[in-house]
Amino acid sequence: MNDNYLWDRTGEPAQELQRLEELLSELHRQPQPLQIPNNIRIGQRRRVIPALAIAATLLIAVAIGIWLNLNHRSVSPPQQARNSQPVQPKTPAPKNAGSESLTATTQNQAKPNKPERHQMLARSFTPNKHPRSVIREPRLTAQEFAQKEQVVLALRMVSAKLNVAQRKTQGVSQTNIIRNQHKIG
Amino acid sequence: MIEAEATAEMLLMTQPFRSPEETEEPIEVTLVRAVLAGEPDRFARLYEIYAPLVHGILLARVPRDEVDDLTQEIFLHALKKLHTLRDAKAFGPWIAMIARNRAMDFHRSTRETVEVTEQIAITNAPNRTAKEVLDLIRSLPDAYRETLVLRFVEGMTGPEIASRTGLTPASVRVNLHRGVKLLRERMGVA
Repeated sequence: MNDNYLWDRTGEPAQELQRLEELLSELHRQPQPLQIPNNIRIGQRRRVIPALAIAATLLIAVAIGIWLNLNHRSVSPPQQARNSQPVQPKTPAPKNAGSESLTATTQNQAKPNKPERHQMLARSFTPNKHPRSVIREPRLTAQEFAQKEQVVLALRMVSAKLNVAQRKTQGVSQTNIIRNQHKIG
Repeated sequence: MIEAEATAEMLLMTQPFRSPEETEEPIEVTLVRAVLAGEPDRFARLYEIYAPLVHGILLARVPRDEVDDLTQEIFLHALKKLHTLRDAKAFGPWIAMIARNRAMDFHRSTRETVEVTEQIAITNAPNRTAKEVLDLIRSLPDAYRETLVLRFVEGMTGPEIASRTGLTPASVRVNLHRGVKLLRERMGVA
């Protein structure tokens, strides 16, 4: 078989291949003009999708900006309020102090405390528009603060003891693990 | 020697290097750009150049009486979707792929295929008609039958097949040789 003739019809023609060409040439395409309809629309590159993508990006950017702005505004007022009101006695000073007895004054001092404390707690549990951003700490008296500190200290001690117990139950200390890793590495 | 001089010029940068693609723009690139620029009549020239390719690809896969209509249909589809072609130089491989996909769709929709059996090869050995030989070619694997039809029916040379289908010349050469060998076996020619 002549390789060149099969490849590009150069060189000596092979009889068998020529016969095959002649035989199959009757199946050759009869030239027909392409009939292009008048109403055919040649599509242009779609510029809608990039435009939509840009618009969506801008919208998202604007939305993030607005959200951040609102968030900042919602956080700042309580801080200002807290800063503007330094530590003040929560009980209002009694106006008529002279004529009343000591028991009456203690009652007067005790009575307004309860509703204020109640309102404070209620305020802290009221639903907020931005619950994640606004953290209102309840105002504590000195005694309450000391109690809180004690509770926190106790919790830390318990946590430390639990850690020690956990290490003991696992049987391997952290230092050993690190040492072994060092050896392996 | 010329190659060595050219390489030396490139390395020394004595002359600006220009690749062959830059110097000679393929005709299909010009035509595709013209069509996209609003001259649909230029598509007729693309049709003239590539119709044998599409015809051959279809002839290797679908019944003969369907080929002409499908060829027209494929070119009209290509004209509508021409804007999706990213590289105008790849018009040939692109339309070849459309033709192959369309042939597959045709078989999916009809499901009426005529299997060429060994009986044809054995009973009608000496004087075969073109249709019988075509059926034998269609019984060959995809790569061989397409290349053989383009070579023997459409009269394209190996380099032409390579440039228009996007295959490498080496692949086309291998497909031609193995295809002819298989065809000879099936035709009962020693």
